Amino acid sequence: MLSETTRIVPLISACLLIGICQTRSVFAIDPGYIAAVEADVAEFSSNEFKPPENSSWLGSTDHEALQMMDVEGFSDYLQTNSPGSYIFYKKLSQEYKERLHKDYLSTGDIDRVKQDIFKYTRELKQ
Amino acid sequence: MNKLDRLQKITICLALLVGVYSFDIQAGVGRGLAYPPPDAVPTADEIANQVYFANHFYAFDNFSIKRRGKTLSVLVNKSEGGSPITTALERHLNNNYEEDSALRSRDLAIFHSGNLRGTGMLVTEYKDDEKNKDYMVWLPRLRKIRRFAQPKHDDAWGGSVFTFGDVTLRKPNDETHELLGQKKMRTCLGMIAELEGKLYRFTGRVPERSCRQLDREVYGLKSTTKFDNWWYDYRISYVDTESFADYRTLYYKQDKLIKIIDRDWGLVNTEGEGDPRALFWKYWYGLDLRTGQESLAVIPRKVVDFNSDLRNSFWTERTLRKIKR
Repeated sequence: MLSETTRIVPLISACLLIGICQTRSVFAIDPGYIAAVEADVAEFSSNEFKPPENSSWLGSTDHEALQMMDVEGFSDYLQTNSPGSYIFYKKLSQEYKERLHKDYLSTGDIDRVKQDIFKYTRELKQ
Repeated sequence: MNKLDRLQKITICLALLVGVYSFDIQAGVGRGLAYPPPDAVPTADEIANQVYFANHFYAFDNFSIKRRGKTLSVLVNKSEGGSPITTALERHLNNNYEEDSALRSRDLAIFHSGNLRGTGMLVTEYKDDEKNKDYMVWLPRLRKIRRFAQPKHDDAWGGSVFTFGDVTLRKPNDETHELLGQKKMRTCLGMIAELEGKLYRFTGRVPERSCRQLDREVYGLKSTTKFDNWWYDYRISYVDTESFADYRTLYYKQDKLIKIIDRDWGLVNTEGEGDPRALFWKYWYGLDLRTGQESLAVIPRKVVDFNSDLRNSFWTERTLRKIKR
């Protein structure tokens, strides 16, 4: 009986330790971020940007925030996340869509973009 | 007689020069700072002044990060491998003081969670740059107001990676500035990986890393501290060439990167309308590479209000006394 307990306790401790270590490693600071920042600032002295490979911080991945950098990605984002607003958005002319996208890039305010979609829709009806 | 006249003239000129110079130092950057003409390339000192203008919300009469229902702005601190610790707060800044008033601004902060829950802080800034700020703190346990000395520039703000110098105290005159050049911003802003895009108490959803600044033209501004034996030697800031928003600041000690602060800014007006420097913070991310500590301040758009009808009497001790326990 005693021998069984002595075997189980180290086993549980080991499992807990591994668990803690795994949790910590999941949320460690992304070294890719620091590499990207250092590559970015080096451009001030070298006048040449040498991007680190496979970095998710440079605008070359499928990250949602990066998709919204162009009008098409922005439209896709609205379609997925605000289908109600998208019904009115898709009926707007390209000029209005570009204006909404530009406003989003400067204000970063998606709620305001949604309000503007309805404002432009009303303007077009009048 | 002629010599005396000359001497008098020289003395008067010198006195005037000294007067103008001392006025310039004392006046510092104020609400009257003009936006630079579109064709001119500003000097490093002018850029530093414009950054100070944007960060102190001088484009607004008043600026509030208030409570709206259950939504509040939060400050999250996370040590390396530790759990996030959250403090919810509201903040009200008033820049609307008469030209002949000695006051430049008053800033009221009220903490709504954590160890500081119920604590209020009223900070008064004077137009005379030589004069320290006044700190009045409402202590809920004592139900009394206590005056405190101005914190040191390198004191941590709310236990975060951000120092009081980073948030409010550092002035353009505290550093010498050098323009490194102009280029495009190449990288997205940082974010605590554990919280990115997740639902979080007080703020609703934590924003995802911001990449809206990619390809924006930025100035590189190198600012070297004038303080002796300081925690950093110099810092490099990325400053938007149009809005003067400082998206990123990198701190160096002995040419080694030791700290990063990223700021996501939103323009209050749509592009082309109003003052381009009328900006608000969306989030701040800070990373201390010496300790691994990360900090995040999130300000949801719905809690941001500006140029409201609040009277100047709101920024007084009376409001501090009204804070509920």
